[in-house]
Amino acid sequence: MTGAPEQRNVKLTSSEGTEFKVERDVAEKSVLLKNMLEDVGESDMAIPLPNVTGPILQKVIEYCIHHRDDPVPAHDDDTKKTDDIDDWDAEFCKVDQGTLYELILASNYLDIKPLLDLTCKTVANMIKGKSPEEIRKTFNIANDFTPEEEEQVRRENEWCEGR
Amino acid sequence: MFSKLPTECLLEILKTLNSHHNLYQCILVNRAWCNAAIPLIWSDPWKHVYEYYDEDEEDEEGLSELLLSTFISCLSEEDRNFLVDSGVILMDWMKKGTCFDYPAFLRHLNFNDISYGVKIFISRNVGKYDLNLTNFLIERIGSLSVKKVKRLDFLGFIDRFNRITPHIDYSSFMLKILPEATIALGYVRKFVLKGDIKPEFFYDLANRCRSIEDLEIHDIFKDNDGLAYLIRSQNSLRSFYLEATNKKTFEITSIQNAFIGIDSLICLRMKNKLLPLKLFLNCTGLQKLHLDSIRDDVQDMEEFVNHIFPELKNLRIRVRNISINHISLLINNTRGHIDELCIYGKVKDLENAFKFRDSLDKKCTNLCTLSLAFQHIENFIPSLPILFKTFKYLKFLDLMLSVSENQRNIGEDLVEIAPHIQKQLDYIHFPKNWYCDEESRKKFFNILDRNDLDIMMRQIY
Repeated sequence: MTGAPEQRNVKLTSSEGTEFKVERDVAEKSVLLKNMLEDVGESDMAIPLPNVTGPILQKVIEYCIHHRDDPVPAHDDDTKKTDDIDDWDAEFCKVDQGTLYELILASNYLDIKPLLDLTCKTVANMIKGKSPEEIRKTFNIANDFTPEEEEQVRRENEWCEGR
Repeated sequence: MFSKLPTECLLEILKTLNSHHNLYQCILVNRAWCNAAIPLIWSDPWKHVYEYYDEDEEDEEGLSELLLSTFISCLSEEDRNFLVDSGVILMDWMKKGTCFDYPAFLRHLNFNDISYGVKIFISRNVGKYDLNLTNFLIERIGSLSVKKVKRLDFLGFIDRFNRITPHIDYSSFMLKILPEATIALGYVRKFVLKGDIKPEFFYDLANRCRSIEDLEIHDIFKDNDGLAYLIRSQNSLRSFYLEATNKKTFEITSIQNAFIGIDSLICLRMKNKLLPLKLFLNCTGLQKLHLDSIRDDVQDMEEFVNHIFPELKNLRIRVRNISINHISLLINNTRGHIDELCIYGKVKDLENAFKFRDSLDKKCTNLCTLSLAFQHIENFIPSLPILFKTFKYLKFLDLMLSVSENQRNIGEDLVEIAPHIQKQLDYIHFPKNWYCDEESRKKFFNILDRNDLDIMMRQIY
């Protein structure tokens, strides 16, 4: 009987210099890290992630550990649904807007598609059913349209109003 | 903070909204959101308009008119002046340039959508049917779309819902402007057409369009060597649908021969016209096979079922005669991932029913849909308690007998299976000669304790 092959740990360094050790299969949930590890081969050098802070990297690692055994996501068919978030993922995304924003940036940078999808769906659910003004308030967005521009865009796209 | 999201991230969020109504609110948030959302809502604008079809025709026509109005405001000043001179009323906003070059964002182009929208616009705006004006506007908007579009995923010449009669073939018009869309056409992945398109169009299109993965041909009524050339010209055809008009028999030898050497199909569906299966022996990645023609038998089935199609998941066969031995062999030659199995036809070899039952047991435990219409269906399936314990993922079960013979009370079986009926199962249809006595029926529903299961069976009180 042989056990599972021993996994080497991968070291990651956040933007503040905090070092994180993760198992290789967890790190490889990130396509960016997977490609780097394949290119570099075995190495004890920590991989610097200057775009990701420690707390966010901690969250990302938490996500990757929970989903380490998930199958590789299928071909992107552009037909995403926002109502298929499971309980663990929903709980994971119960964070303040700033953290959610950082998680989107980190999953985009690290190329972790399922996490990017999850965080985007979470934001999309915050948008659904809201008027433009409510969306601006929710996300603290300034309206930089001139009144004339806004009116023209509205008129030209009025066909997709309703329901 | 979200106002500073990189465009690619904002785009990912907006894509997940997947609804024109929600996207419409987003385009009015600010300029960055507008720039990100506009290409999404304009990739297939008619889809949104037609979503209203089943609910409210008046609403749908209103939206269609509004969409046409924006297309018109994208036309040249000369064209708009012609419309005004012809009695079309244009609102002030339609007379000045648009905020975006909207047709450039189209990813789906179906000439019959444009034609339908124009007819509605003219009848609502001008108040009468004007053939010349209608044709002028179809040509101008069609031409504008073909010239402006940068990357086309879908090309169609098909009437949605088949409600427009007679169907008009716009391919000859598009043939004239094809050279202006060469780059955009190079991206086309899906092409849906009716069988009336002339060969010249396909010959020209085939030289510009070689990446079609999904080809649907509806209402074909004769052979077409141009279409055969288009099929042969594709680099990797993955899905093919052929539907013949059900009126007369005819040969489509050229189209048939175009499949010689093609091994990339993963989805093959044929209705009312079945090409010989020996053409597809090398398509070992086949996942979906639908053969639907109650007048015909399947050609080359014996040879076909002796080949291995490990990935086959979805099998629908509705033909005149079937050999259940062949169906069993086909199922046995898969990896056992079949999730949809629908077989209808007169079974020629009833003595092999047990082989089919064995195949169900060995290779079909992942079934979500099981629909069978055989005489003496009891011989083809396991007993009901075993069936419900084996197929745990069933969502749809439809069992039919073509001839009603002995009456059979399945009351006791129902009581036994009730605890094994999974929550995802929402439709059961039992043969009409099976019935359930009232007492068992009450027990069954008491144990089942749910009211969302659509169960069709005879009752005896």
